[in-house]
Amino acid sequence: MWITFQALLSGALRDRISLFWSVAAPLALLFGLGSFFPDPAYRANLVLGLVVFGILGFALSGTGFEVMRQRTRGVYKLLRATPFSIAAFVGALTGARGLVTLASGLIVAAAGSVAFGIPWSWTGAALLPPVLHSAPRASWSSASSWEISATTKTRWQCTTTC
Amino acid sequence: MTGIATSAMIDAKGLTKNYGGRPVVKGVDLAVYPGEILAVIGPNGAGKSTTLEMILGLRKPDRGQVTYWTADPRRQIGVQLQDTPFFPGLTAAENLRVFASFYGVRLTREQLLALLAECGLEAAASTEASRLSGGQQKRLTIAAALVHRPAVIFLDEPTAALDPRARHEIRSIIRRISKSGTAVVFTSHDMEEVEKLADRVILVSAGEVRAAGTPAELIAAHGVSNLDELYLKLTATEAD
Repeated sequence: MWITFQALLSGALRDRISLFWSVAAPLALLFGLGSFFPDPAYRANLVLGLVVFGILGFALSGTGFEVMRQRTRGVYKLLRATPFSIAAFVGALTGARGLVTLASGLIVAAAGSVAFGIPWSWTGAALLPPVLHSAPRASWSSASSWEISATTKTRWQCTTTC
Repeated sequence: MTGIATSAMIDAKGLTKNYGGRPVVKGVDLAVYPGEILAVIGPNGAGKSTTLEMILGLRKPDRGQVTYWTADPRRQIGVQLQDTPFFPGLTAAENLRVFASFYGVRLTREQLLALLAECGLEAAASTEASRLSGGQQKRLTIAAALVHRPAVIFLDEPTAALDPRARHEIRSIIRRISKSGTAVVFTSHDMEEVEKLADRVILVSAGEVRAAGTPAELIAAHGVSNLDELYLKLTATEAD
C-alpha cells in the first residue's frame, strides 16, 4: 500500500495539466487580477476564490479524470485479477492526490498572503483538509463506485485441489 | 499432448455464460498444464475473452467451475489484458514497482532491471511509460504480469496491432517465459504465430470448443495443410 501510495504521489507531482489548473493558473489570476484591482477586500476574496478554484481544479482534473483514464485503460479490471483490493488502490490514489491538492491550495493561499499582505488565518487553513477530504471524494466516487460494487459482486471462483 | 504433464494447473469444466439471455459461452472445458504454451483462438465474439475472464475470476460463470492447483490463484497468475493498464506519468521501472506492490512483492533495483532486460526494456527503465512505443508498451504490460514470478500467465492478444519486429520480439519473450517453467495462455488471430508458438491449441467458435490438441494433431485430424485453413474450415458457419 505504501509503495503504491509513493508511486501514485510521484505520478501526481508529474501531472502537468492538473498542476497547471491547481497552481499555475490560480497564481497567474492572483497576480493579474490582484494587481488590476487594488481593493483589499476584493484581494482577500480573490485569494479565497482562487484557493477553491485550484483545489477543485486538481480534484476534477487530477483525481476525477485520472480515475476515468485508469478505468479506460483497464486498471480496475486488472486489479480484480490481483490480490490488491480496489478500495485500497482508490484510498492510496485519493490520499496521494489529496496531499498534492492540499499543497497546491496552501501555495496559492501563502502567495496571496505574502503578495497582498492578507493576514494568515490558521483557523481558515485548518478548514482546508475537510474541504479536501470531500472534494476529491466527490469526484472519484461517481467514477469508481461501480468498480467497487463489481468487485464485491464477482466472487473469485476457486475450488482448490491443493 | 506430447511433452505436457498430465496434472492440470487450471481445470475449467462446463463454463457457461449468458448475457441478457443470449448464450455467449456454452459449456467450455479448458485445462492448462505446467510449462505449456496454450493458444486460445477463434473469431471475434466467439467467447474467448469471456472464457478467460471467468477463469481469471473477473466474471462469474452462470454454470461450470474452475479448479486451481493453488489456494490463492491470484498470487500465482499473471495477467496481460488487451488494454495497457499502466500509469503513464511513471517510468517503466516505477510502473513495475507499483504492479509488484499489487502482489505484495517488493522488487530491488537489480530485480527491476533484470525483469526489464528480460522483456527487452533495459534502455527504457527511466522513460515515462506514455513515451514508450506501442511495442515497448506491450512488453511493459507483459513485464508487469511477470513481477511476481507467476506459475501461469494469461496474455490477451499480445501481438495485436504491432509491427513484424515487435511481434517477433514478443514471441521471443513468450518462448523465454515458457522455458523458465511458466505456463503461458494466449489468444491470437494470427494463425502463423499460433502454429509457431503453441504447444496446444483450443479453437472456440460460437461459445463452444470446436477443436483442441497440438497444432500437428489438429492439422492431421481435419485434413488441412495449416492452422489458417483449419480456422477457416471450423469457423465457416459462424461467418455465415
